[in-house]
Amino acid sequence: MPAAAKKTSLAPVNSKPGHRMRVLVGVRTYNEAEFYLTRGADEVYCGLPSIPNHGVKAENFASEAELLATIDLARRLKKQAFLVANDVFPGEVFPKTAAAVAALVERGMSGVIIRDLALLEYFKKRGLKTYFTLSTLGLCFNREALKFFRERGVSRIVLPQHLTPAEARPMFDRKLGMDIEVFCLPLFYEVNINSLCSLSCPCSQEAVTDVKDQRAYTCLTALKRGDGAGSYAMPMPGSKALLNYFYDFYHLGASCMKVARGPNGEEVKELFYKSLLLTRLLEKGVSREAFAHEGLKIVSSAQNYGKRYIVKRY
Amino acid sequence: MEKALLTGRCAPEPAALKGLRWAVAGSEFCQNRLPGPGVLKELRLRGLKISLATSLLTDEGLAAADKFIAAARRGGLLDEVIVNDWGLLARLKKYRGLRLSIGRLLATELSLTERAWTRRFVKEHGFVSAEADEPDLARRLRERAGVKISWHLPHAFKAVTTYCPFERHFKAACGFSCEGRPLKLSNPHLKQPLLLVEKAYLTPGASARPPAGAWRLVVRGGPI
Repeated sequence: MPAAAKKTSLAPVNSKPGHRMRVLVGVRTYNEAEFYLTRGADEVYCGLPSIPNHGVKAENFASEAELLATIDLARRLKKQAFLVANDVFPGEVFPKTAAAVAALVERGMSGVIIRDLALLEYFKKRGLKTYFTLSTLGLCFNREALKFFRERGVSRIVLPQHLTPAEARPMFDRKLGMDIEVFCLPLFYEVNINSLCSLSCPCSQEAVTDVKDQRAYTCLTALKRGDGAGSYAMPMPGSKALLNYFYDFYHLGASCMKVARGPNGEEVKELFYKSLLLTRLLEKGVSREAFAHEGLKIVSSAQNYGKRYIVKRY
Repeated sequence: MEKALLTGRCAPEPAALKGLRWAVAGSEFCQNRLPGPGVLKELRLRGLKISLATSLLTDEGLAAADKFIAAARRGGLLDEVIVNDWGLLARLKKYRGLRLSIGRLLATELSLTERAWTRRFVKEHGFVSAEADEPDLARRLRERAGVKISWHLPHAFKAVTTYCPFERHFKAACGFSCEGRPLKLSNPHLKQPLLLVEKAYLTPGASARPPAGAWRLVVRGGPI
């Protein structure tokens, strides 16, 4: 088994001021992986249509061969490439797809991003070890839940977007030894809890090529209130609050910042550069006030959630 | 078939409980809505079996729910907990004889996972039933998890957040301004309107017809 597949922990959590956060980016092609890994990303994650993952098909690699080349690229650059398998594996295909995940780990994937508890048991029973990240879709909202997943083999969690730093503080306990990954919240925030939302949504769309063809996404559009008091938009915290959350998560010791993949390559590129800029500002040790001041300029006009789902390749 | 009223945080008027055997107190969608002091005792005095619905929980919410459950068990005032949080599930191992039901949020996971694993997990953790409000979900839960179905009517769950849509905050303490104020929402793109209740969006009337074989019906009552 290649060394990368045996590894079950990355660099320890470092909550000292000035610590460097790993930068993880979701990619769909070898070219995208090369682009990000040579411009500041430490890790990429990649999906295949044949392995259940929470995304539209256009967010996946077109072939396994290209994904394997990406693994080799990451190794050459001494960086990481993760497999995203963050959906529940349907029972009918479970043995086949779990075996496919195991094969990719054997081939050199640095780890697997998961949601399905049965997959963890599959690996444990076979004595296979890898670095498991629990997706936000896994609904881990407290320290006890974190222990629940750690006992089952998870080494990193992606913190749910719907937790404030004050609420999440106990999960940063270094004794737990978990790596904690956060989204750059001021630039990427989902209005409702993703895995528990079945409203019309970009996530449920396939190959949307023109913005005019997109259905209205319930979480983005105005709704008419039945009490006659005008319109209603599903609420979310404002940009300044989200900048403050990102600031606090960094200072609590978040070890990784995630830029989510999307079918619109240009939009992901913009998100990457803006997220990287905000992350580097934190690493420089700027004050909360300075971070919020500069951050608001960087994140303005950032919430183009629907536009993420217009397929554009580069 | 057993019948229950979703009583939320407060004890309902006695007339609302006529002919019922169960009260489902608390909430699956908001951790702030634990029943008030004396509510469980009042429900028990009316001869009801009591289920406590719980939601996704932060550490603070988990501590509050754990403390509430411990006190209710000591007082003999709790027969069942509806679980929607992995952390709470781990904590509940310490209680013997407490009936557990898979809540509608965890049901999404446990209705899709591989059958053999799901059956083992459900048995190991002592789940005997699951809450559902959508026919496919109920069917999958019966087939994969092998549990009885507790059916919620008349509204079906569509989405949830932990950011309070009524008060616009994440706080663990609130003014309960959602109570008695379900808000109907619509626009031309929605096939059916939505109903905002607590921190969840529901489809009104979508689960009015229970599936055959459901062991319990849970009806949403007021003021919720």
